[in-house]
Amino acid sequence: MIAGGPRRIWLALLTVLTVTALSGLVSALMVRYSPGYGVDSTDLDPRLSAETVRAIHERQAVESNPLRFYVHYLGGVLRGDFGTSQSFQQPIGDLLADRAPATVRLVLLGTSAGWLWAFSLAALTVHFRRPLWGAGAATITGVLLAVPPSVFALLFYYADAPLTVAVGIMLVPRLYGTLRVLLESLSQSDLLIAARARGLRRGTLGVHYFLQLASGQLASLFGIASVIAFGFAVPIEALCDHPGIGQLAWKAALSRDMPLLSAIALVVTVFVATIHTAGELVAREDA
Amino acid sequence: MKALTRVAQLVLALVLLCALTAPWLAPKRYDEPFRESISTTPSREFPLGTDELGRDRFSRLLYATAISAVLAPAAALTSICLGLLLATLAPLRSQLLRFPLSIFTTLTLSIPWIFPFILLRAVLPLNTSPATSILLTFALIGVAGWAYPGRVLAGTMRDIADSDWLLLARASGIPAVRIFTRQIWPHLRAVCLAQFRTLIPAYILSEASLGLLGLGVAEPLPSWGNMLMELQYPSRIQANPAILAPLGLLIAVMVCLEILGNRPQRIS
Repeated sequence: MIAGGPRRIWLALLTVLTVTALSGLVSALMVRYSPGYGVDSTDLDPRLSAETVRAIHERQAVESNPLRFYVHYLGGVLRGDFGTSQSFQQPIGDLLADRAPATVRLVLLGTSAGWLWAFSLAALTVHFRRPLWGAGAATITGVLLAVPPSVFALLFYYADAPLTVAVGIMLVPRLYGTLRVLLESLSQSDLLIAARARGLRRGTLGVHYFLQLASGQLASLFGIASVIAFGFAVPIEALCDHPGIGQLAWKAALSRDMPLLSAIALVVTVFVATIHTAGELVAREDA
Repeated sequence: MKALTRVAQLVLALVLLCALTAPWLAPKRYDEPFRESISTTPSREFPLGTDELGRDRFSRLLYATAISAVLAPAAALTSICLGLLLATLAPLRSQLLRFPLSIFTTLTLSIPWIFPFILLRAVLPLNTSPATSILLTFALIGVAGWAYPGRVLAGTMRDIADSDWLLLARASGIPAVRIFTRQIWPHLRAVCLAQFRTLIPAYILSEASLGLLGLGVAEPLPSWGNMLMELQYPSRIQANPAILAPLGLLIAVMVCLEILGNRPQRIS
Protein backbone atom coordinates (compact mmCIF):
# COMPACT_ATOMS: atom_id res chain seq x y z
CA MET A 1 0.00 0.00 0.00
CA ILE A 2 1.35 3.47 -0.82
CA ALA A 3 1.81 5.79 2.15
CA GLY A 4 0.01 9.11 2.03
CA GLY A 5 -3.17 7.38 0.90
CA PRO A 6 -5.03 7.62 -2.35
CA ARG A 7 -4.20 11.35 -2.67
CA ARG A 8 -0.63 10.57 -3.70
CA ILE A 9 -1.79 7.95 -6.18
CA TRP A 10 -4.32 10.37 -7.67
CA LEU A 11 -1.64 13.04 -7.94
CA ALA A 12 0.68 10.58 -9.69
CA LEU A 13 -2.11 9.59 -12.08
CA LEU A 14 -2.87 13.24 -12.73
CA THR A 15 0.80 13.86 -13.46
CA VAL A 16 0.94 11.02 -16.00
CA LEU A 17 -2.34 12.15 -17.61
CA THR A 18 -1.18 15.76 -17.85
CA VAL A 19 2.17 14.73 -19.29
CA THR A 20 0.31 12.55 -21.82
CA ALA A 21 -2.05 15.38 -22.75
CA LEU A 22 0.81 17.88 -23.09
CA SER A 23 3.05 15.59 -25.10
CA GLY A 24 0.03 14.72 -27.24
CA LEU A 25 -0.53 18.43 -27.85
CA VAL A 26 3.11 18.96 -28.82
CA SER A 27 2.98 15.92 -31.12
CA ALA A 28 -0.29 17.04 -32.72
CA LEU A 29 1.03 20.56 -33.32
CA MET A 30 4.21 19.19 -34.84
CA VAL A 31 2.21 17.05 -37.24
CA ARG A 32 -0.25 19.86 -38.01
CA TYR A 33 2.51 22.37 -38.83
CA SER A 34 4.95 19.97 -40.46
CA PRO A 35 6.01 20.81 -44.02
CA GLY A 36 3.66 19.35 -46.57
CA TYR A 37 0.67 18.96 -44.22
CA GLY A 38 -2.62 19.44 -46.06
CA VAL A 39 -1.09 18.96 -49.49
CA ASP A 40 -3.17 16.26 -51.11
CA SER A 41 -2.35 14.40 -54.29
CA THR A 42 -6.08 13.87 -54.91
CA ASP A 43 -6.21 17.52 -56.06
CA LEU A 44 -4.48 16.42 -59.24
CA ASP A 45 -6.43 13.21 -59.76
CA PRO A 46 -8.48 13.68 -62.95
CA ARG A 47 -10.79 10.78 -62.02
CA LEU A 48 -12.28 12.73 -59.09
CA SER A 49 -15.14 15.13 -59.66
CA ALA A 50 -15.08 18.74 -58.46
CA GLU A 51 -17.64 17.88 -55.74
CA THR A 52 -15.44 15.08 -54.39
CA VAL A 53 -12.37 17.33 -54.30
CA ARG A 54 -14.43 20.04 -52.56
CA ALA A 55 -15.68 17.50 -50.00
CA ILE A 56 -12.10 16.40 -49.29
CA HIS A 57 -11.06 20.05 -48.84
CA GLU A 58 -13.98 20.69 -46.49
CA ARG A 59 -12.99 17.68 -44.39
CA GLN A 60 -9.41 18.94 -44.25
CA ALA A 61 -10.58 22.46 -43.35
CA VAL A 62 -12.15 21.10 -40.17
CA GLU A 63 -8.74 19.79 -39.18
CA SER A 64 -6.94 23.05 -39.97
CA ASN A 65 -8.02 24.35 -36.54
CA PRO A 66 -5.14 23.24 -34.26
CA LEU A 67 -7.44 22.55 -31.30
CA ARG A 68 -9.81 20.40 -33.36
CA PHE A 69 -6.86 18.68 -34.92
CA TYR A 70 -5.48 17.93 -31.45
CA VAL A 71 -8.77 16.44 -30.26
CA HIS A 72 -9.00 14.41 -33.46
CA TYR A 73 -5.35 13.30 -33.16
CA LEU A 74 -5.69 12.34 -29.48
CA GLY A 75 -8.90 10.46 -30.24
CA GLY A 76 -7.08 8.53 -32.94
CA VAL A 77 -4.14 7.81 -30.65
CA LEU A 78 -6.47 6.44 -27.97
CA ARG A 79 -7.87 4.04 -30.59
CA GLY A 80 -4.32 3.09 -31.62
CA ASP A 81 -4.48 5.11 -34.84
CA PHE A 82 -1.38 7.33 -35.03
CA GLY A 83 -1.87 8.19 -38.70
CA THR A 84 0.26 7.13 -41.65
CA SER A 85 4.01 7.39 -41.96
CA GLN A 86 5.09 9.64 -44.83
CA SER A 87 8.34 7.81 -45.49
CA PHE A 88 7.22 4.19 -44.98
CA GLN A 89 3.67 4.70 -46.34
CA GLN A 90 2.35 2.37 -43.62
CA PRO A 91 0.11 2.89 -40.58
CA ILE A 92 2.31 4.18 -37.74
CA GLY A 93 0.60 1.90 -35.23
CA ASP A 94 1.71 -1.14 -37.26
CA LEU A 95 5.27 0.16 -37.54
CA LEU A 96 5.45 0.70 -33.78
CA ALA A 97 3.97 -2.72 -33.05
CA ASP A 98 6.48 -4.38 -35.42
CA ARG A 99 9.50 -2.62 -33.94
CA ALA A 100 8.60 -2.45 -30.25
CA PRO A 101 9.47 -6.07 -29.30
CA ALA A 102 13.10 -5.70 -30.44
CA THR A 103 13.58 -2.51 -28.40
CA VAL A 104 11.75 -3.85 -25.36
CA ARG A 105 13.93 -6.96 -25.41
CA LEU A 106 17.12 -4.89 -25.79
CA VAL A 107 16.12 -2.50 -23.00
CA LEU A 108 14.82 -5.11 -20.56
CA LEU A 109 17.67 -7.60 -20.97
CA GLY A 110 20.27 -4.82 -21.00
CA THR A 111 18.80 -3.19 -17.90
CA SER A 112 18.61 -6.50 -16.05
CA ALA A 113 22.23 -7.32 -16.90
CA GLY A 114 23.50 -3.81 -16.05
CA TRP A 115 21.52 -3.67 -12.83
CA LEU A 116 22.81 -7.09 -11.73
CA TRP A 117 26.45 -6.27 -12.52
CA ALA A 118 26.30 -2.86 -10.86
CA PHE A 119 24.61 -4.40 -7.82
CA SER A 120 27.23 -7.15 -7.58
CA LEU A 121 30.08 -4.63 -7.90
CA ALA A 122 28.53 -2.34 -5.27
CA ALA A 123 27.80 -5.28 -2.92
CA LEU A 124 31.40 -6.54 -3.21
CA THR A 125 32.79 -3.05 -2.56
CA VAL A 126 30.59 -2.56 0.50
CA HIS A 127 31.17 -6.10 1.77
CA PHE A 128 34.96 -6.16 1.57
CA ARG A 129 35.49 -2.52 2.63
CA ARG A 130 39.06 -2.51 1.34
CA PRO A 131 40.49 0.59 -0.35
CA LEU A 132 41.78 -1.58 -3.18
CA TRP A 133 38.25 -2.81 -3.99
CA GLY A 134 36.91 0.74 -3.94
CA ALA A 135 39.73 2.02 -6.14
CA GLY A 136 39.30 -0.90 -8.56
CA ALA A 137 35.55 -0.34 -8.88
CA ALA A 138 36.05 3.43 -9.28
CA THR A 139 38.60 2.83 -12.05
CA ILE A 140 36.35 0.40 -13.92
CA THR A 141 33.31 2.68 -13.72
CA GLY A 142 35.41 5.77 -14.47
CA VAL A 143 36.83 4.29 -17.67
CA LEU A 144 33.41 3.00 -18.77
CA LEU A 145 31.90 6.43 -18.13
CA ALA A 146 34.54 8.13 -20.27
CA VAL A 147 33.56 6.26 -23.44
CA PRO A 148 30.57 7.65 -25.39
CA PRO A 149 27.74 5.04 -25.53
CA SER A 150 27.68 5.15 -29.34
CA VAL A 151 31.37 4.24 -29.53
CA PHE A 152 30.78 1.39 -27.13
CA ALA A 153 27.91 0.13 -29.27
CA LEU A 154 30.09 0.23 -32.39
CA LEU A 155 32.79 -1.73 -30.60
CA PHE A 156 30.32 -4.48 -29.75
CA TYR A 157 28.90 -4.43 -33.25
CA TYR A 158 32.32 -4.96 -34.81
CA ALA A 159 33.10 -7.72 -32.30
CA ASP A 160 29.77 -9.36 -33.15
CA ALA A 161 28.94 -9.39 -29.43
CA PRO A 162 25.33 -9.21 -28.10
CA LEU A 163 24.08 -5.62 -27.94
CA THR A 164 22.26 -6.32 -24.67
CA VAL A 165 25.68 -6.85 -23.08
CA ALA A 166 26.75 -3.44 -24.42
CA VAL A 167 23.67 -1.81 -22.86
CA GLY A 168 24.36 -3.63 -19.58
CA ILE A 169 28.00 -2.57 -19.43
CA MET A 170 27.10 1.05 -20.25
CA LEU A 171 24.60 1.06 -17.41
CA VAL A 172 27.06 -0.23 -14.79
CA PRO A 173 28.90 3.08 -14.13
CA ARG A 174 25.61 4.98 -14.14
CA LEU A 175 24.06 2.74 -11.48
CA TYR A 176 27.07 1.75 -9.41
CA GLY A 177 27.38 5.01 -7.43
CA THR A 178 23.73 5.11 -6.37
CA LEU A 179 23.66 1.39 -5.51
CA ARG A 180 26.84 1.66 -3.47
CA VAL A 181 25.51 4.59 -1.44
CA LEU A 182 22.22 2.73 -0.91
CA LEU A 183 23.95 -0.46 0.22
CA GLU A 184 26.34 1.42 2.48
CA SER A 185 23.54 3.30 4.22
CA LEU A 186 21.55 0.08 4.62
CA SER A 187 24.47 -1.88 6.00
CA GLN A 188 24.88 0.78 8.67
CA SER A 189 21.19 1.02 9.53
CA ASP A 190 20.23 0.31 13.15
CA LEU A 191 17.87 -2.45 12.12
CA LEU A 192 20.53 -4.46 10.31
CA ILE A 193 23.14 -3.87 13.03
CA ALA A 194 20.65 -5.11 15.67
CA ALA A 195 19.76 -8.12 13.52
CA ARG A 196 23.42 -8.94 13.01
CA ALA A 197 24.08 -8.58 16.74
CA ARG A 198 21.33 -11.16 17.41
CA GLY A 199 23.35 -13.59 15.31
CA LEU A 200 20.96 -13.93 12.40
CA ARG A 201 22.33 -15.76 9.41
CA ARG A 202 23.32 -13.86 6.27
CA GLY A 203 20.60 -15.46 4.19
CA THR A 204 17.91 -14.46 6.69
CA LEU A 205 19.38 -10.96 6.92
CA GLY A 206 19.35 -10.61 3.17
CA VAL A 207 15.84 -11.88 2.56
CA HIS A 208 13.95 -10.65 5.62
CA TYR A 209 15.67 -7.36 6.34
CA PHE A 210 17.64 -6.11 3.40
CA LEU A 211 15.09 -6.85 0.67
CA GLN A 212 12.24 -5.50 2.79
CA LEU A 213 14.12 -2.29 3.48
CA ALA A 214 15.40 -1.66 -0.02
CA SER A 215 12.98 -3.33 -2.43
CA GLY A 216 11.16 -0.08 -3.26
CA GLN A 217 14.30 1.91 -3.94
CA LEU A 218 15.85 -0.95 -5.92
CA ALA A 219 12.72 -1.27 -8.05
CA SER A 220 12.66 2.48 -8.59
CA LEU A 221 16.29 2.40 -9.65
CA PHE A 222 15.51 -0.41 -12.09
CA GLY A 223 12.84 1.81 -13.65
CA ILE A 224 15.25 4.72 -14.00
CA ALA A 225 17.88 2.38 -15.44
CA SER A 226 15.43 1.17 -18.07
CA VAL A 227 14.78 4.79 -19.07
CA ILE A 228 18.53 5.40 -19.45
CA ALA A 229 18.79 2.15 -21.44
CA PHE A 230 15.98 3.37 -23.68
CA GLY A 231 18.05 6.50 -24.37
CA PHE A 232 20.96 4.25 -25.38
CA ALA A 233 18.70 2.29 -27.71
CA VAL A 234 18.59 5.07 -30.31
CA PRO A 235 22.33 5.28 -31.10
CA ILE A 236 22.76 1.53 -30.67
CA GLU A 237 19.93 0.61 -33.02
CA ALA A 238 20.86 3.32 -35.52
CA LEU A 239 24.55 2.44 -35.68
CA CYS A 240 24.25 -1.33 -35.28
CA ASP A 241 21.32 -1.93 -37.65
CA HIS A 242 19.03 -3.26 -34.91
CA PRO A 243 15.40 -3.08 -36.12
CA GLY A 244 13.78 -1.39 -33.13
CA ILE A 245 12.00 1.86 -32.28
CA GLY A 246 15.31 3.70 -31.95
CA GLN A 247 16.23 2.87 -35.51
CA LEU A 248 12.71 3.84 -36.61
CA ALA A 249 13.11 7.26 -34.95
CA TRP A 250 16.48 7.64 -36.59
CA LYS A 251 15.12 6.82 -40.06
CA ALA A 252 12.13 9.11 -39.47
CA ALA A 253 14.50 11.97 -38.59
CA LEU A 254 16.59 11.40 -41.72
CA SER A 255 13.50 11.39 -43.94
CA ARG A 256 11.83 14.21 -41.94
CA ASP A 257 8.77 12.07 -41.31
CA MET A 258 7.09 14.27 -38.67
CA PRO A 259 3.93 12.17 -38.06
CA LEU A 260 6.09 9.13 -37.28
CA LEU A 261 8.55 11.11 -35.16
CA SER A 262 5.72 12.75 -33.20
CA ALA A 263 4.08 9.40 -32.53
CA ILE A 264 7.37 7.92 -31.32
CA ALA A 265 8.01 10.97 -29.10
CA LEU A 266 4.49 10.64 -27.64
CA VAL A 267 4.84 6.92 -26.91
CA VAL A 268 8.31 7.37 -25.41
CA THR A 269 7.22 10.29 -23.22
CA VAL A 270 4.21 8.45 -21.83
CA PHE A 271 6.25 5.28 -21.21
CA VAL A 272 9.03 7.18 -19.44
CA ALA A 273 6.68 9.47 -17.46
CA THR A 274 4.80 6.43 -16.16
CA ILE A 275 8.02 4.75 -15.04
CA HIS A 276 9.31 7.97 -13.43
CA THR A 277 6.08 8.61 -11.55
CA ALA A 278 5.70 5.00 -10.42
CA GLY A 279 9.34 4.98 -9.33
CA GLU A 280 8.89 8.15 -7.31
CA LEU A 281 5.78 6.74 -5.65
CA VAL A 282 7.56 3.54 -4.65
CA ALA A 283 10.75 5.31 -3.54
CA ARG A 284 8.81 7.78 -1.36
CA GLU A 285 6.95 4.90 0.20
CA ASP A 286 10.28 3.24 0.96
CA ALA A 287 11.81 6.39 2.43
CA MET B 1 46.34 10.44 -5.60
CA LYS B 2 47.80 13.94 -5.40
CA ALA B 3 50.17 13.16 -8.26
CA LEU B 4 47.25 11.82 -10.33
CA THR B 5 45.29 15.00 -9.67
CA ARG B 6 48.28 17.10 -10.74
CA VAL B 7 48.64 15.10 -13.97
CA ALA B 8 44.91 15.50 -14.67
CA GLN B 9 45.11 19.25 -14.08
CA LEU B 10 48.14 19.50 -16.36
CA VAL B 11 46.48 17.52 -19.17
CA LEU B 12 43.30 19.59 -18.96
CA ALA B 13 45.28 22.85 -18.90
CA LEU B 14 47.19 21.74 -22.00
CA VAL B 15 43.99 20.77 -23.81
CA LEU B 16 42.38 24.09 -22.90
CA LEU B 17 45.48 25.97 -24.05
CA CYS B 18 45.43 24.11 -27.38
CA ALA B 19 41.71 24.85 -27.69
CA LEU B 20 42.13 28.57 -27.08
CA THR B 21 45.10 28.91 -29.41
CA ALA B 22 43.76 26.60 -32.13
CA PRO B 23 43.58 29.29 -34.87
CA TRP B 24 47.29 30.07 -34.39
CA LEU B 25 48.46 26.54 -33.55
CA ALA B 26 46.75 24.75 -36.43
CA PRO B 27 49.08 24.43 -39.42
CA LYS B 28 46.16 24.37 -41.90
CA ARG B 29 42.59 25.60 -42.06
CA TYR B 30 40.01 23.10 -40.81
CA ASP B 31 38.09 23.17 -44.12
CA GLU B 32 41.02 23.40 -46.55
CA PRO B 33 41.05 20.37 -48.87
CA PHE B 34 44.31 19.06 -50.30
CA ARG B 35 43.14 17.19 -53.35
CA GLU B 36 46.49 15.58 -54.03
CA SER B 37 46.59 14.11 -50.47
CA ILE B 38 43.29 12.34 -49.89
CA SER B 39 43.08 9.83 -46.99
CA THR B 40 46.82 9.89 -46.39
CA THR B 41 48.59 8.36 -43.40
CA PRO B 42 50.48 10.57 -40.90
CA SER B 43 53.39 12.46 -42.39
CA ARG B 44 55.51 15.49 -41.56
CA GLU B 45 53.05 17.76 -43.38
CA PHE B 46 49.95 16.11 -41.94
CA PRO B 47 50.77 14.79 -38.42
CA LEU B 48 47.52 12.77 -38.21
CA GLY B 49 47.02 12.26 -41.92
CA THR B 50 44.11 13.59 -43.97
CA ASP B 51 40.45 12.63 -44.24
CA GLU B 52 38.57 11.45 -47.32
CA LEU B 53 38.24 15.07 -48.49
CA GLY B 54 41.95 15.72 -48.07
CA ARG B 55 41.59 17.93 -44.96
CA ASP B 56 44.33 17.93 -42.31
CA ARG B 57 43.13 15.84 -39.36
CA PHE B 58 45.47 17.49 -36.88
CA SER B 59 44.17 21.00 -37.64
CA ARG B 60 40.60 19.75 -37.53
CA LEU B 61 41.23 18.11 -34.16
CA LEU B 62 42.58 21.38 -32.76
CA TYR B 63 39.52 23.31 -33.95
CA ALA B 64 37.23 20.51 -32.74
CA THR B 65 38.82 20.78 -29.30
CA ALA B 66 38.18 24.51 -29.33
CA ILE B 67 34.50 24.01 -30.21
CA SER B 68 33.79 21.16 -27.79
CA ALA B 69 35.88 22.49 -24.90
CA VAL B 70 34.43 26.00 -25.03
CA LEU B 71 30.81 25.26 -25.84
CA ALA B 72 30.25 22.42 -23.37
CA PRO B 73 30.83 24.76 -20.38
CA ALA B 74 28.62 27.36 -22.10
CA ALA B 75 25.82 24.80 -22.38
CA ALA B 76 26.35 23.81 -18.75
CA LEU B 77 26.05 27.47 -17.76
CA THR B 78 22.78 27.72 -19.72
CA SER B 79 21.39 24.71 -17.82
CA ILE B 80 22.44 26.15 -14.46
CA CYS B 81 20.87 29.55 -15.25
CA LEU B 82 17.60 27.96 -16.36
CA GLY B 83 17.60 25.60 -13.38
CA LEU B 84 18.25 28.49 -11.04
CA LEU B 85 15.48 30.54 -12.61
CA LEU B 86 12.90 27.78 -12.15
CA ALA B 87 14.25 26.80 -8.73
CA THR B 88 13.33 30.25 -7.42
CA LEU B 89 9.70 29.14 -7.75
CA ALA B 90 10.31 26.05 -5.60
CA PRO B 91 9.80 27.68 -2.17
CA LEU B 92 6.34 28.87 -3.22
CA ARG B 93 3.66 27.17 -1.13
CA SER B 94 0.90 27.47 -3.71
CA GLN B 95 0.01 24.06 -5.13
CA LEU B 96 -1.32 25.85 -8.21
CA LEU B 97 2.19 26.95 -9.08
CA ARG B 98 4.07 23.96 -7.79
CA PHE B 99 2.06 21.36 -9.67
CA PRO B 100 2.70 22.80 -13.17
CA LEU B 101 6.36 23.15 -12.25
CA SER B 102 6.46 19.52 -11.15
CA ILE B 103 4.74 18.48 -14.41
CA PHE B 104 7.21 20.51 -16.43
CA THR B 105 10.14 18.94 -14.60
CA THR B 106 8.71 15.44 -15.04
CA LEU B 107 8.12 16.12 -18.74
CA THR B 108 11.71 17.30 -19.21
CA LEU B 109 13.15 14.41 -17.24
CA SER B 110 10.85 11.96 -19.00
CA ILE B 111 12.05 12.48 -22.54
CA PRO B 112 15.34 10.75 -23.29
CA TRP B 113 17.63 13.62 -24.33
CA ILE B 114 18.31 12.21 -27.78
CA PHE B 115 14.67 12.61 -28.91
CA PRO B 116 14.60 16.43 -28.83
CA PHE B 117 17.72 16.42 -30.98
CA ILE B 118 16.21 14.03 -33.49
CA LEU B 119 13.09 16.22 -33.63
CA LEU B 120 15.16 19.39 -33.99
CA ARG B 121 17.20 17.86 -36.78
CA ALA B 122 14.02 16.90 -38.60
CA VAL B 123 12.56 20.40 -38.26
CA LEU B 124 15.70 22.31 -39.28
CA PRO B 125 16.00 23.30 -42.94
CA LEU B 126 18.55 21.30 -44.93
CA ASN B 127 20.59 24.43 -45.67
CA THR B 128 21.14 25.39 -42.01
CA SER B 129 24.58 26.98 -41.68
CA PRO B 130 27.27 25.14 -39.67
CA ALA B 131 27.54 28.05 -37.21
CA THR B 132 23.79 27.88 -36.55
CA SER B 133 24.01 24.12 -36.10
CA ILE B 134 26.74 24.57 -33.46
CA LEU B 135 24.72 27.15 -31.55
CA LEU B 136 21.52 25.11 -31.79
CA THR B 137 23.23 21.88 -30.76
CA PHE B 138 24.80 23.30 -27.64
CA ALA B 139 21.83 25.56 -26.84
CA LEU B 140 19.50 22.56 -26.98
CA ILE B 141 21.90 20.47 -24.89
CA GLY B 142 21.84 23.30 -22.34
CA VAL B 143 18.08 23.73 -22.42
CA ALA B 144 17.34 19.98 -22.37
CA GLY B 145 19.56 19.53 -19.35
CA TRP B 146 18.05 22.20 -17.09
CA ALA B 147 15.94 19.74 -15.10
CA TYR B 148 18.88 17.94 -13.49
CA PRO B 149 20.47 20.97 -11.82
CA GLY B 150 16.97 22.47 -11.51
CA ARG B 151 15.82 19.66 -9.25
CA VAL B 152 18.88 19.90 -6.99
CA LEU B 153 18.69 23.69 -6.85
CA ALA B 154 14.96 23.57 -6.11
CA GLY B 155 15.68 21.31 -3.12
CA THR B 156 18.37 23.71 -1.91
CA MET B 157 16.00 26.67 -2.32
CA ARG B 158 13.33 24.89 -0.29
CA ASP B 159 15.87 24.14 2.47
CA ILE B 160 16.99 27.76 2.47
CA ALA B 161 13.41 29.03 2.59
CA ASP B 162 12.69 26.80 5.61
CA SER B 163 15.92 27.64 7.44
CA ASP B 164 16.00 29.35 10.80
CA TRP B 165 18.86 31.63 9.83
CA LEU B 166 16.81 33.13 6.99
CA LEU B 167 13.93 33.74 9.36
CA LEU B 168 16.32 35.38 11.82
CA ALA B 169 17.88 37.52 9.09
CA ARG B 170 14.41 38.66 7.95
CA ALA B 171 13.29 39.33 11.53
CA SER B 172 16.42 41.39 12.09
CA GLY B 173 15.32 43.70 9.28
CA ILE B 174 18.26 43.01 6.97
CA PRO B 175 17.44 44.27 3.44
CA ALA B 176 16.44 41.61 0.92
CA VAL B 177 19.36 42.34 -1.42
CA ARG B 178 21.84 41.94 1.42
CA ILE B 179 20.17 38.71 2.55
CA PHE B 180 20.51 37.36 -0.97
CA THR B 181 24.13 38.40 -1.55
CA ARG B 182 25.45 37.56 1.93
CA GLN B 183 23.26 34.64 3.04
CA ILE B 184 21.50 32.89 0.17
CA TRP B 185 23.95 33.19 -2.72
CA PRO B 186 26.94 31.55 -0.93
CA HIS B 187 24.76 28.44 -0.40
CA LEU B 188 23.49 28.42 -3.96
CA ARG B 189 26.90 29.16 -5.45
CA ALA B 190 28.41 25.98 -4.01
CA VAL B 191 25.56 23.86 -5.42
CA CYS B 192 25.71 25.64 -8.78
CA LEU B 193 29.45 25.07 -9.00
CA ALA B 194 29.11 21.36 -8.17
CA GLN B 195 26.35 20.99 -10.78
CA PHE B 196 28.37 22.95 -13.34
CA ARG B 197 31.32 20.61 -12.86
CA THR B 198 29.22 17.47 -13.33
CA LEU B 199 27.37 18.83 -16.37
CA ILE B 200 30.49 19.62 -18.42
CA PRO B 201 31.61 15.99 -18.98
CA ALA B 202 27.97 14.98 -19.52
CA TYR B 203 27.59 17.54 -22.27
CA ILE B 204 30.91 16.62 -23.87
CA LEU B 205 29.65 13.01 -24.05
CA SER B 206 26.25 14.13 -25.36
CA GLU B 207 27.84 16.11 -28.17
CA ALA B 208 30.09 13.16 -29.00
CA SER B 209 27.13 10.77 -29.22
CA LEU B 210 25.11 13.21 -31.31
CA GLY B 211 28.05 13.88 -33.60
CA LEU B 212 28.60 10.19 -34.20
CA LEU B 213 24.98 9.93 -35.34
CA GLY B 214 25.33 13.01 -37.55
CA LEU B 215 22.91 15.02 -35.41
CA GLY B 216 25.39 17.40 -33.85
CA VAL B 217 27.66 20.07 -35.29
CA ALA B 218 27.33 20.19 -39.09
CA GLU B 219 30.23 19.86 -41.53
CA PRO B 220 32.59 21.44 -42.46
CA LEU B 221 33.02 22.67 -38.86
CA PRO B 222 34.76 20.00 -36.80
CA SER B 223 33.79 18.81 -33.32
CA TRP B 224 34.87 15.80 -31.31
CA GLY B 225 31.50 14.28 -32.10
CA ASN B 226 31.49 14.60 -35.86
CA MET B 227 35.16 13.56 -36.05
CA LEU B 228 34.10 10.28 -34.40
CA MET B 229 31.83 9.54 -37.39
CA GLU B 230 34.80 7.95 -39.13
CA LEU B 231 34.73 5.18 -36.53
CA GLN B 232 31.85 3.74 -38.55
CA TYR B 233 34.36 2.64 -41.20
CA PRO B 234 36.69 -0.03 -39.76
CA SER B 235 38.65 -0.27 -43.03
CA ARG B 236 39.68 3.38 -42.68
CA ILE B 237 40.80 2.80 -39.09
CA GLN B 238 42.92 -0.14 -40.22
CA ALA B 239 44.49 1.99 -42.94
CA ASN B 240 45.15 4.93 -40.61
CA PRO B 241 44.86 4.30 -36.83
CA ALA B 242 45.35 8.06 -36.28
CA ILE B 243 41.58 8.28 -36.91
CA LEU B 244 41.28 7.16 -33.29
CA ALA B 245 43.02 10.35 -32.09
CA PRO B 246 39.77 12.28 -31.37
CA LEU B 247 38.45 9.31 -29.38
CA GLY B 248 41.72 9.05 -27.45
CA LEU B 249 41.65 12.77 -26.65
CA LEU B 250 37.99 12.61 -25.63
CA ILE B 251 38.58 9.67 -23.29
CA ALA B 252 41.68 11.34 -21.82
CA VAL B 253 39.74 14.54 -21.10
CA MET B 254 36.83 12.61 -19.59
CA VAL B 255 39.12 10.55 -17.35
CA CYS B 256 40.95 13.73 -16.22
CA LEU B 257 37.62 15.42 -15.44
CA GLU B 258 36.58 12.36 -13.43
CA ILE B 259 39.86 12.34 -11.51
CA LEU B 260 39.14 15.95 -10.57
CA GLY B 261 35.77 14.86 -9.24
CA ASN B 262 33.52 15.79 -12.13
CA ARG B 263 31.43 12.67 -12.66
CA PRO B 264 28.97 13.15 -15.52
CA GLN B 265 25.30 13.58 -14.73
CA ARG B 266 22.79 10.89 -15.67
CA ILE B 267 21.87 12.77 -18.87
CA SER B 268 24.88 11.28 -20.65
